[in-house]
Amino acid sequence: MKKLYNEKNKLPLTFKYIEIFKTKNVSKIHSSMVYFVPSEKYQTEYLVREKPLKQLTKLL
Amino acid sequence: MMILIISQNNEITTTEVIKVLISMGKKFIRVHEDEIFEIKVRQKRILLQSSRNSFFLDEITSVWFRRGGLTFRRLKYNHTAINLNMNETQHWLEDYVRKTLESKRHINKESNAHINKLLVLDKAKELGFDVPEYYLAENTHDVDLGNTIIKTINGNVMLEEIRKNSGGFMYTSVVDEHEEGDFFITFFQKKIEKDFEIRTFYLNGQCWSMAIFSQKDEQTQIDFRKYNKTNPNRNVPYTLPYYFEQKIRQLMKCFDLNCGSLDFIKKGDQYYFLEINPIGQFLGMSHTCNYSLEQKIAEYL
Amino acid sequence: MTYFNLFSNIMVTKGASRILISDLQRNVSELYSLEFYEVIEELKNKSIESILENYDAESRKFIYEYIELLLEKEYGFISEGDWDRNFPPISYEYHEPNEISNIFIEINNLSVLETIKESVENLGVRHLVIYSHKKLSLKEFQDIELQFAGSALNGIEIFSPYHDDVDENFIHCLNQTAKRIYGLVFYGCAKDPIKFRDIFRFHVQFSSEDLKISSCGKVNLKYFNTNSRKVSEALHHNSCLHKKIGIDVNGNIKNCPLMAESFGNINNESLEDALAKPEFRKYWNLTKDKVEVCRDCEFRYICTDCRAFTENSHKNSEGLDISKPLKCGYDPYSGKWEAESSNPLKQKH
Repeated sequence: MKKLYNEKNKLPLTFKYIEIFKTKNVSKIHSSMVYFVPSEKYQTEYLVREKPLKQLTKLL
Repeated sequence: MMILIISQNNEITTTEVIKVLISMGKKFIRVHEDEIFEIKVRQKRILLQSSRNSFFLDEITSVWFRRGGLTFRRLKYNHTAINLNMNETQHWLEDYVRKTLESKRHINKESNAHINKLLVLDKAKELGFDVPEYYLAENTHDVDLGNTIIKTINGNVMLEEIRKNSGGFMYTSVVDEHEEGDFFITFFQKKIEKDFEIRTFYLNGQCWSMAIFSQKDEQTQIDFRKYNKTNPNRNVPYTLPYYFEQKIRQLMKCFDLNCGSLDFIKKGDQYYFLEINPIGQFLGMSHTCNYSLEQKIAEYL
Repeated sequence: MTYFNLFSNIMVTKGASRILISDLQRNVSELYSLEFYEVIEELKNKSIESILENYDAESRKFIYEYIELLLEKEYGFISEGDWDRNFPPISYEYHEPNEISNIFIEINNLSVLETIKESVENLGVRHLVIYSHKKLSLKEFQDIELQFAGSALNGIEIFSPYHDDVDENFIHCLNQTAKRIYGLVFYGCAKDPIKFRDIFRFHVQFSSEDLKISSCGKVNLKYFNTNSRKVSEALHHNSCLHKKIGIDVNGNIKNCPLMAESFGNINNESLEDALAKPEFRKYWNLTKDKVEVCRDCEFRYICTDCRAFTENSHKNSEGLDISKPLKCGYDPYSGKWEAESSNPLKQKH
């Protein structure tokens, strides 16, 4: 494992079983993605923008 | 009354509890991870001031430590001796502030937000919990292949940017083949063929548990944190036996924890203790089992 | 002796002619026969062996199949000796710390939003649905977004008339600045200007219908939602009106813009004041269990009620309208949906 990661010192066996996931923006935007909006009332920039869990109107 | 919440900007859990606090008319101060505080004095009272918040130490009635931490501005001085001396002075002032806050009514503390997994396992065994056999090793000579799992010794299983544009997760894994040569000390534990797992949220002596059936799903069989979004595990409320909850209380008290998540395995009639996470996620369980834990936290503060 | 344990987040709703089994964790509902209901009930009270004893060989096959189905769908598990008493039932209490969860507002111009902005923040409103009579320009959409920047609102949905400026470019531009908008519906659109692709932060739809606000109140399969939050609200409260405020085009504050009763006007009263009037909440706890016909319908907890358009046939002792929604074409007694146009009564609206 230390070879895999180019390390001089030994690594625990857990490094052999690491699961890799991509962090670079897989850049696909879609309406069901999780988005965050700022909120002063809750003092955060990470208020989850959510679709309602039930139909609020039945126009169509 | 004034509640101090030490948290992070992106903590959704904190926001949910804040909604309940607002509905209860309870006042609070939310501190983010990047806030730097200066310790000042006004009319003989200690004042803590950052770019976002300002409050007197004595007006705080309860503290909820939910990740992040309090950071203070440390002044530096040119003269080496002066710098050393002033460093100490500032250290003691900060120490006074931290310890005073921790002595108030609180949920979790910065000082024990992380605990030693190995010590916890030893203590759990001592208190009479069934713990799957565990040991440390530098090679796989004595390992029962296929029936042994490995876990990280530290609490964090994620590595950011381990490769270019990728992160990594070190989930609990089964050791299925021998490894040539030695490696850094690794934690090994006997794999238990479970009926299901149990996650318990503990707050001030009370327990709320959820059973997690992940056996049918190969993806989550070993580590249920590898969530299967398309067909989630079956998660339902569970009640632990009274005597067992008593033992949990004892264990938590040993580590001076009044809040945290605990993981167990159920097999047949036996409960096996796995680990404690002092500041774990509980929103999912709160929603799935309708325990309204956000409410319980808001009520306690 | 073996016993079948139904998982606590599996809800069985009995209707007059069928049952609905709702998996409130995986958010799926399915229809089954009343016979299946009987079997599930028996499994709650007897061991599997003692149930099988009472059936002949032919029928036993069916019992096995039912149990297989329950296990396959992970609706339950089998235990030895007794039911596993460590699995408690789930409490379906509905928890919503905020005073109002959604506002449905009918507008002719955007200034109205400025008037209610502060109340929206105070009440912790989560969702805002805007029905606009007037065509909205790109800037006006952005203004709506700006009006609520930094607020506690979780999401905004906007219904507005289609106009020629609304093309692919318009939507792309809007996508750049949209934050809270999660849904856009353009009505009165003869031909979709863009092909459907889910590539925007919000869901966008074009409808050829010339939607009037009175088009609301429809009840059909596409408006059913299976999830524990929706269901727990429906079990204890009115699934449409609970914690809702409606504001009509004249600024009248109501339970729903399409209902007659007004509790004040935004031009001289705050939403909080209107909400404080005891009469405002009178429909909030009228569950489907108390509504005629609906009480016998297997869909009653996943459906969304409508008190604005009803058959106006029944009132309860408190004077509340407890008639079945007018625009619901389902008959729980026969288990059939009628085509909406066939009922002359329903053509009135």
